[in-house]
Amino acid sequence: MTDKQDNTLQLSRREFLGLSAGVVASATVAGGLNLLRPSNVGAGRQAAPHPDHTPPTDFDREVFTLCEQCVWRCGVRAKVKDGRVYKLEGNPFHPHSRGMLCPRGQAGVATLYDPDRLKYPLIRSGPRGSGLWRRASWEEALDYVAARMLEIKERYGPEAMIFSTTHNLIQTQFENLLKAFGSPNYGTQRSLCFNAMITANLMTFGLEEPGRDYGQTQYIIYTGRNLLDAISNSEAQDLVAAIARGAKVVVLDPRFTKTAAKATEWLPVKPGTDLAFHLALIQVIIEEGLYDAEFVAEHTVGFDELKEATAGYTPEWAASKCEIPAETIRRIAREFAMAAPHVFAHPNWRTSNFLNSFQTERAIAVLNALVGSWGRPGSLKPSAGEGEGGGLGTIPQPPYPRVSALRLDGVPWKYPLVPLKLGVFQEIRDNILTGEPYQAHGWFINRQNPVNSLPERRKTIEAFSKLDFIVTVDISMNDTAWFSDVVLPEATYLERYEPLTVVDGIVFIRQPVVEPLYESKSGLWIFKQLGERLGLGDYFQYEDEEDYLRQQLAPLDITLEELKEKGYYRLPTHEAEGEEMFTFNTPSGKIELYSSTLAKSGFSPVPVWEEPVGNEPGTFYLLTGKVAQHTQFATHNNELLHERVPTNPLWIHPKPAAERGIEDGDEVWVESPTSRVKTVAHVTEKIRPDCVYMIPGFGHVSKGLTTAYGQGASDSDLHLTFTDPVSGSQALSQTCVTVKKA
Amino acid sequence: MSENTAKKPRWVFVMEPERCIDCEACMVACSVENEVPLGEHRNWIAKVEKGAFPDLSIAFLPENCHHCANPPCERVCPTGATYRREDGLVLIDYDRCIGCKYCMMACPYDARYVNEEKKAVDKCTFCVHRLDEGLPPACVETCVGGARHFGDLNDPNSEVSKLLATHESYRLYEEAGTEPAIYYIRS
Amino acid sequence: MDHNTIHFHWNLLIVFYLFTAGVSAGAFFVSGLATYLGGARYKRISRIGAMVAPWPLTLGLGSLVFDLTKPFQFWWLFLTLQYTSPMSIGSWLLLGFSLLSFVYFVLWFPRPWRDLLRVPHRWSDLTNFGAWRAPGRKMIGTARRVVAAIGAPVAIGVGMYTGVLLGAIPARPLWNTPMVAQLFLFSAMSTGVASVLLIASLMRPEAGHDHLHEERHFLVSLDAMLIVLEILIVIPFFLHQALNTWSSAESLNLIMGGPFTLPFWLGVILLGLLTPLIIEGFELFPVVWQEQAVKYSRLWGGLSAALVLVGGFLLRYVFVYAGQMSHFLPLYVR
Ligand SMILES: Nc1nc2c(c(=O)[nH]1)N[C@H]1C(S)=C(S)[C@@H](COP(=O)(O)OP(=O)(O)OC[C@H]3O[C@@H](n4cnc5c(=O)[nH]c(N)nc54)[C@H](O)[C@@H]3O)O[C@H]1N2
Ligand SMILES: Nc1nc2c(c(=O)[nH]1)N[C@H]1C(S)=C(S)[C@@H](COP(=O)(O)OP(=O)(O)OC[C@H]3O[C@@H](n4cnc5c(=O)[nH]c(N)nc54)[C@H](O)[C@@H]3O)O[C@H]1N2
Ligand code: SF4
Ligand code: SF4
Ligand code: SF4
Ligand code: SF4
Ligand code: SF4
Ligand SMILES: [Mo]
Repeated sequence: MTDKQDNTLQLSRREFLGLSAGVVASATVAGGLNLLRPSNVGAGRQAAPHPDHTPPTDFDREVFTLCEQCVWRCGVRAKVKDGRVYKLEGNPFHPHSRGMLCPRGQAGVATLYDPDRLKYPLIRSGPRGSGLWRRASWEEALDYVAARMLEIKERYGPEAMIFSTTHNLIQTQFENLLKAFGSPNYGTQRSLCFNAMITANLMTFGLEEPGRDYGQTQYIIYTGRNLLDAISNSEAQDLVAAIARGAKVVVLDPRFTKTAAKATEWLPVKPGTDLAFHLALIQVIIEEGLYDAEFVAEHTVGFDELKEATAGYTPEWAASKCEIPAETIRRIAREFAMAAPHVFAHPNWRTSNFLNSFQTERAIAVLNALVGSWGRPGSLKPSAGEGEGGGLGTIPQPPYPRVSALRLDGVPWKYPLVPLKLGVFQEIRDNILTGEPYQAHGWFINRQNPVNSLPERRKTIEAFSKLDFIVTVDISMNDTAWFSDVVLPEATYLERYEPLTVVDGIVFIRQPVVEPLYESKSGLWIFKQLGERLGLGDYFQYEDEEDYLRQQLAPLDITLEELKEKGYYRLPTHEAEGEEMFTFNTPSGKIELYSSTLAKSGFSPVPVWEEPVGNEPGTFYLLTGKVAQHTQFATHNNELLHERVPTNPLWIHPKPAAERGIEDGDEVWVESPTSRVKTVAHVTEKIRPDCVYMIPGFGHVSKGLTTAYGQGASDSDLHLTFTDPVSGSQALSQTCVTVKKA
Repeated sequence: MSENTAKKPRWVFVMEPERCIDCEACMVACSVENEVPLGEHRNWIAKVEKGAFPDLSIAFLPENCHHCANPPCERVCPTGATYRREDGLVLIDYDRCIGCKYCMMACPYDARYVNEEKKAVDKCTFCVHRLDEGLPPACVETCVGGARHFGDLNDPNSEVSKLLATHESYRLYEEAGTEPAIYYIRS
Repeated sequence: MDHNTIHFHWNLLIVFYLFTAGVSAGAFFVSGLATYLGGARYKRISRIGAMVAPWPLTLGLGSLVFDLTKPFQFWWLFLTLQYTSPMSIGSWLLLGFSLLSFVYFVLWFPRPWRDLLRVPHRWSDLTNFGAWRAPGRKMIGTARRVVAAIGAPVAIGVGMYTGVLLGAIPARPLWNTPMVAQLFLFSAMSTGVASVLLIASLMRPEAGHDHLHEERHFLVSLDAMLIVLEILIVIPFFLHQALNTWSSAESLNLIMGGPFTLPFWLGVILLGLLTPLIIEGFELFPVVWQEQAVKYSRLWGGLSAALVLVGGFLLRYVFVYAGQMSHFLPLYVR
């Protein structure tokens, strides 16, 4: 009943697109769109069927590397035959995969062999977004990019150049480039993703993200964390195992998600009111004396203030806000506290829902502390984390130049509490448009798709028009690259080296499984080349990719060759000691139920109710959320994943649908104050009647994505920009839309 | 039990619908492993959706060819292209298959598809090429939820035997007399 | 592809094949029957039947082969005999039937052409081709009767086979009843009769042999009888399906309020069975009631025959398509 697709339609559509794209291509032969058309190099799995009809079992090579289909970075075992990556499998030794890959990981071959991949450096030869490109040599493209960047630096200062990227292994070298260049303007996905969660945890526990021990947990509360669709491979495995073991799972989500389907209890909370639910849990637990008094006394500060502030948040009060019955809230509070400390309220991840999401996350952190869910079996724990550190060698470099210019993202001058590292990405975009506090002139984008990931797609494209120069490094002609001036093709994760990474005390390597196709190059190479052309060669003191890794491995007793063969290296053990577990990097050194930092900045020091904006009668909250078969805005052109989920119909409850005469499969207009899109309705009981939902990432505008182009509609086009003043988090569920039959 | 009295294996799947999260990793893995043409597939997730907002439930049943012990597809095949191997695997001799699609009519599970590249009818092979190498099927290996289990039912120590010994189970369309080799654990 | 969407792997080519096989079998059978029952009186019917018999099937077999993914390897069918496969047995049956129907066809060549034939007349001729001569009248007559006698059961087999092909499939509840084979058999006979009737009504009466009324009477009453038989199968078919398993009861919905309701009730039942029956009944009425001969109208005869043919085609269309949608229950949505 879910995800119905009509494949016949799809195929004919693809044929149609192929045809029309072909016409455009021949009309602009010199123009260069043909550079984006399929070529026969490295054709996909369709092109090389095995004549004997039996899939191969003997492979030339098996290579250990890391998945990059999402940010979880699972260990991969790649099977190679005749120079072709035949199959990807999970690396059983990697703690993130444990021998399994999620659908996106399995579909990696179709990313590698996507005929639409970027093949050569491209320089725009028509107006922005016209799709007219000229093929350039790396030499020419890099010289050109460096010259434009230097020109901007000379005329307007280094701060006029914005750099942005999303979480990835080459990030250190990207940051190296921008810091050496001297720009303070660094945009990451973080404020669109987890600012609220991270900031709340920093304020409460003094660390970014607590770890979760699923092993012995008995009770978990998820608040808009749809782990079984928004897959973090190992954690999703852990959750399923916990459920099978009999752990109780409560899911708050306005939608009946896959996680809700597997949970013990689904609470279809009214969007934006999770805070009321959690405040009531706190209230009940304090009032009924169910908290862990010993733990609270020993490890926390501010209990009395918390008690006073939350006294009025009774379940009855909360029920009127969040539309979850008071008895249910009271029961869950008791069950949760009774099962403590083998419980946790999950810190969640993408917490960019409402302006009060920060308060919600604070309440969740405080709730965990109250019941002593910390450092015990089945509870929260200090994060194990993943990073470059842990005894790896570093590459020598001179100190970075001092930066005096203000940050365009308003940190800290407008957003005093937003951690410098997190930033407020959407603010950069808005300040390009206003030209305040100064005008930006260039944007260097790596592995990111701000045209789609930022709210108000039109606004982002408009901001582009204010810039003199935009360069994008990507593997495909995503919507951002489409509007850029220069597009540089990176080799995919199956074709390149990247800086080593450490997970749970084990060093893992990403290494080329096959040689880069076409003229694509690794980020390590690209940034070094650019650095040298920008006169910043001293910051890139490695000869090539392998040299970089060798320098990292220098202090360890393993050679690069050995590591490549084995795929991992266990560092001499250094486990979190019992003591370390309970020292918190907060001003008080304890878990802060009451945060003096918040108080000083004029924000509420304890979690309090903040009324979210409601939806006007007749309008719907527009929900967003991942689907297991796609990653963000990146995989819709992957033919294997496109085959699974080719489009994104609008989920709508039967009642409002009937009121509007909408039937399943009807075309509908979805309209927000900023834009409107046309899509198909999926009438389903699995959503609250006051909400609608779309999978993000569809509705691509780039014609360089021949499979994904024109499929589905874009929710980013509809979203408005709202920024939480505390954490800088964007509020993605706060946009309300009207729906009518098309 | 000595070598030569060892029983023939009986390969079966044991599915735990409770653990299936409908992620479809198994489908993508199978497509890549077995070069299944786009638009077709050898395995899928059947869904049983019940109730109305807010009392909903949905069950996910991972499925593929059931390698029936009494396979109607084999019975009706006019050329003998579909055959049952010693160890119970129901396989297709792709050279012998003329593509009459009669087996597709006969399979109660809709497990078969026309493979336009092979010009023959095709279906799940229980990854026989991997099995013969001692590897688990591709879909089992990657199953994120751990819902798919594969093994020899004639080996009392296998994971599948143990699962079936300790859990209640059922099979799909048993009344059809197909003796399917996929067991579902009742939750 | 979504497993949820129904794919019709058997399409119009198969419908056509099942239809044509039935027409051929029916035409052959009625020709044989006429030969035995009427001799010279029904000679024209016998001849038309024999002339018709091989061709629809040949066309149908062509479309069947064309529907294979490997048309040029159809011969695999004849390298084996799979006892459990209706299609395998059917293929051999069809092979036999086509050979017989071609021989029968040749035996029914009218005079000038038939004389071109050369056959041995004595044992010693077997090795001496020069001695072969055109067959004599008596010889031809015997041969026709022998071939008709052998061919008739084979024709019945073919007519039945087209239904067994579907009926032997438990996975499709709509098909899985012996009544489908019966229905298809009588429908095959009926379409065979109708094809002869149609051609007869298109032809001018043979000069000097005015057996027209008798011919018509034979064909129309035979056809009417077959239609009645069909109706007598359709009724229990419905009763059985409705009272059988949940799956078979549900499968009836496909033709009772489902997507195939119109083609079934309007096409198969009304146009294909009831209307021709009424026309034929109207023609037969005076005979039955007043024991007097009526003038058969070529127009009405032709019309009822055409409707029988249309109905026969639609019957196969409805069953082939609707059957593929029918499924065991509970249906796990995919
Ligand atoms: N398959 C897949 N997995 C992924 C990713 C991917 O793109 N694809 N991306 C990865 C990344 S970067 C991230 S950040 C994580 C994100 O993973 P999650 O944190 O799980 O985030 P989403 O899937 O974006 O949204 C989760 C749910 O929030 C619900 N929601 C919206 N508003 C509200 C509200 O006000 N209250 C409540 N309670 N719920 C609300 C939505 O209905 C949605 O089901 O996933 C990671 N894993
Ligand atoms: N409407 C809506 N907006 C959202 C969200 C949502 O759920 N709905 N989610 C938010 C969240 S949680 C996040 S994390 C952000 C993510 O926002 P972004 O990071 O902007 O989005 P991605 O789609 O992850 O962009 C990744 C880009 O990297 C490219 N890429 C992939 N592999 C490589 C590689 O190896 N090298 C290079 N150079 N490029 C590569 C892809 O082609 C793609 O263009 O979006 C946020 N915005
Ligand atoms: S969760 Fe999936 S996509 Fe992400 S790294 Fe792991 S296998 Fe790759
Ligand atoms: S599931 Fe279908 S294809 Fe597989 S053995 Fe049984 S009948 Fe044959
Ligand atoms: S399609 Fe092939 S395997 Fe199926 S019945 Fe026909 S010959 Fe046998
Ligand atoms: S056993 Fe192999 S062929 Fe069968 S569904 Fe699983 S992966 Fe596909
Ligand atoms: S991989 Fe496992 S959990 Fe995922 S859909 Fe397949 S059977 Fe279900
Ligand atoms: Mo994210």
